[in-house]
Amino acid sequence: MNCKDFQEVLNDFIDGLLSPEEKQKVETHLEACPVCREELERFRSLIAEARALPKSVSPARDLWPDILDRLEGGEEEISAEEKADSRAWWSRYGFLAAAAVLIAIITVFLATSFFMEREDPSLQFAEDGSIQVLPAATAPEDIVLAEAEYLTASEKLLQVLNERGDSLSPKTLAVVRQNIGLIDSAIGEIKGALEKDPANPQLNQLLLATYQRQLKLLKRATALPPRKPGRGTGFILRDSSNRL
Amino acid sequence: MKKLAILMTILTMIPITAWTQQEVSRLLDTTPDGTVEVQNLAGSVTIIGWERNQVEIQATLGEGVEELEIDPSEGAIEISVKPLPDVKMFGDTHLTIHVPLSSTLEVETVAADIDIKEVTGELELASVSGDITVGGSPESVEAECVSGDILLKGVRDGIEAASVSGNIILQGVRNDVEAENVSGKIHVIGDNLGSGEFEVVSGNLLFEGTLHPEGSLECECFSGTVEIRLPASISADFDIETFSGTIVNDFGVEATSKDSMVSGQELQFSTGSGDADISVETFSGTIRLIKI
Repeated sequence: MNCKDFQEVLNDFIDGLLSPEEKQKVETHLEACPVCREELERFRSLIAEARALPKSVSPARDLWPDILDRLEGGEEEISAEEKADSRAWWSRYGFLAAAAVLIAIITVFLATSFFMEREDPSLQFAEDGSIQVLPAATAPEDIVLAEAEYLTASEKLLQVLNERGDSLSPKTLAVVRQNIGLIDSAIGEIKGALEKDPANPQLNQLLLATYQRQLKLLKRATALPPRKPGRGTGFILRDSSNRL
Repeated sequence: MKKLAILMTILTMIPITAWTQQEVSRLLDTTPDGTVEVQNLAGSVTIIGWERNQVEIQATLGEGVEELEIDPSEGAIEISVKPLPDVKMFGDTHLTIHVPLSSTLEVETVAADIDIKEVTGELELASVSGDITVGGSPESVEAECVSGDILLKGVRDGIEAASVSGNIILQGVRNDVEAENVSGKIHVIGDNLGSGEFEVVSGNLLFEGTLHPEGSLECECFSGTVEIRLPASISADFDIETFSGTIVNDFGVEATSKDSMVSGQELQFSTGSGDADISVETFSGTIRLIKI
């Protein structure tokens, strides 16, 4: 097993889904590879943070700066890793993977902050943390708060997208930006409707779902494979967690 | 005169030398269900399943390519086109590879088309601007493009397809089928579809065909049109909704306006005993339910 193989099985390893033989291979690799060991610890730490979010009370509102700090810390780490040729794939895309984890955390965070406190029996969450049912009453101040969180996350992902420079073709970037604009317009329309009927649960649900869709599109766009190859193994990034 | 003769000789020899360097042919023994990984830049990758426990590679290397790296190991063979350092433009490299029928394939390209025929193992295929075409009956297919098209011909189960601006066409699909696109279209032909989830942002989505009696079809589209073409005899529960678009329904029930919405419509109805589930949701796109 090499580092690329490890990246591909990392999620399954953490989730305990590998066969005993596969698990053994991973453990053998980890014993010999400090970079992958460090990466594993970083992922475990992020996941632990997501799992530690409160399930019956609203989370502290200052969670976001911590996540930002972690993300920015991740950037520094990746820069250091870039010096190692054998880690070229992960060096280039580790930050994007961290961004993907960040989105998972944000999704859980937003879902938790919105609904868990309300004890609505009709509330359901999909396995990926997406919102299935909105409670009958959603306070306008919560919507405003959630909107601010979404906007911050969107800005961060847009920054990642812009930092990729010309690694994406102008046409692809145009398509992504055009579709982000479409979703922005839709958000404007929904908010217009909400001004007339602020307590409408369907509109609130639609607004949050539309924000989620925009984040998913941004997340996928930041992880798109580069149009030009680099030397070394693996010039295409595949990450099914980035699906819309 | 002598100098000219030498120059002419050199010029005559260059293409011959280059041509002889571009052809690669290898035959390797392997296991019947091993993994074959292929990476190419531009050109094409054609992989064909055959009933031998061997991998045969035939390649024509394009300009700007340093070598075709072939790395066999236990149960896996990696085939990779390596570019020359600092080269920005690449000529087409064409790879034709025969693999054991039940091989697992992992193919990645930048601008090379991927064409898979008669391979029954798991397929993971990714390209930036190349097209992906799969025929036959693989165990599962994950196909991802940025601007390339994805065409799965007769692949029935275990499909995950994603593109950004390319088109996705899935013919004869049945179970565990998922596709998503941004501005490209999704065209699905269902053959007794058991479960399918399709999602587009601004592209159009067309589903036509039959559903399993207890099948499930979920379609989401943001601003594009969704058209669902179903047999008149379909037995299903329909749950159709659009925020600001319109619903056209051939099955006889008219959509109603949504309360408190700007101009949205919704529609819930059943046909027959209503065993299958069909849900369609758009933001501003038109939804058409068509009888065939």
